[in-house]
Amino acid sequence: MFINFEYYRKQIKDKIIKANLIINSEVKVYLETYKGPFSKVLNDNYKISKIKNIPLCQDTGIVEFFLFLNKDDYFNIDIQGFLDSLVKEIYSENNFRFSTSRDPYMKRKNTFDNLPSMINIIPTKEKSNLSFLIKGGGSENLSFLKMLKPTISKNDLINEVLKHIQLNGSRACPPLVIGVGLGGTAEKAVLNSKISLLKNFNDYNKDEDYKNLEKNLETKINNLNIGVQGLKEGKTTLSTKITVMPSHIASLSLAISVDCYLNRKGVVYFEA
Amino acid sequence: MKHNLSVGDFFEYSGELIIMRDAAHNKIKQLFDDNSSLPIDFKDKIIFYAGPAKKPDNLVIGAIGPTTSSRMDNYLEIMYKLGIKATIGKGNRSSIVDLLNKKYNKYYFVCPSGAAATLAQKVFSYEVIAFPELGPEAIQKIVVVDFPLMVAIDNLGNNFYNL
Repeated sequence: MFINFEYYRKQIKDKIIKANLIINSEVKVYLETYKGPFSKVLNDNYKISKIKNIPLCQDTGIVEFFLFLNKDDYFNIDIQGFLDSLVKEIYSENNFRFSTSRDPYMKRKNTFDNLPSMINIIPTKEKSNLSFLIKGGGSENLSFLKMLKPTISKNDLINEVLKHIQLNGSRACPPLVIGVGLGGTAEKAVLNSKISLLKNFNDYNKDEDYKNLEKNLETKINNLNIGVQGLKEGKTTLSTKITVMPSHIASLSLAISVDCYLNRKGVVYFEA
Repeated sequence: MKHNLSVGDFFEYSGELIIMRDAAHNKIKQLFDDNSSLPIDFKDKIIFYAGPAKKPDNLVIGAIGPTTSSRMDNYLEIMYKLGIKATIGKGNRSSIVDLLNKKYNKYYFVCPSGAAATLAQKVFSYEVIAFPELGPEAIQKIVVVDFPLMVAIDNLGNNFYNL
């Protein structure tokens, strides 16, 4: 089917705005049970953001798009241009922050339009959809990639993840949402770790072995007791999910992406 | 600011904060290294590592909250030499900060992150005071009332995250 992106313009726009202003419902369920330090501040936050129309977090992030594309679907527009014009509109019209720098190093200068958005196009056998993450810099800075030995023991693999979160977790606004990419070439592992951040908290892997690994990781990460806000009370991870891909016989890539507790995301499905 | 604070204490602060993050620290360091004059007097100031979102017309300030403090660790000794008395941000810092706090008798506080709408309600005045071209990374001054903080590294170098 032909995907007419213009038709979905308003829907995409509304969902990106909403992700910045309205708390993720799964996160809200957890926050309401949390009684530790700063619990009132955190529970007031999403009420105030909704009423006053100001974002949940001052870091309204870089917008990362994941266009999952089925072979039967197609489009004929400049997708970067289209999504960038949308993001520019959203970040100019709302009380969000411009958080991108035109040149990454030599001539660092704010773009004052929050562009570019980051676009990934991913072939899928499922139905096409456009997913997105509102990705803050503090959590993005915890991104991790390591090429492991394919024969590494399960314990050692788990310890790689634990070590990284133990060392860095307090800096990225825990309780963290953690995405793991396992297998594939290096760049695919990183992409898959991001795709893992799009999953709902109860959406465990369909493969029993990986589902068990996800649950095992969640338990062990929570046992690190970094806690909400890094203050040693409450959960350390709200969700840890794994996306796998076939691998070279010599390789086992492990990528970790981390999202802050807000896990701001959304998805737009295309109708026939 | 109370004077008997120790690691792990929760308290609420009312008073002035100077907002500064990566780009402004870099500029101050260059000016400091060149012996050039600085845009503000840092003596007794408290630095808040932050960069607010846009200010709505009908509010004092937009969403505001701490950024990751450890990115500013390399600038901390210069800032202590310039006379600041504390920093506020989020997350653990490198062990050098424990040593610097002890050496200079200073504090590092954390405030709630991802709570930028709540914190904006505690700000009662706001102005840009230097480097406006940096946008959210400009040096800005705010006055806060009942701003929620916790002592993460005290003036004896005790670090909450290592307890």
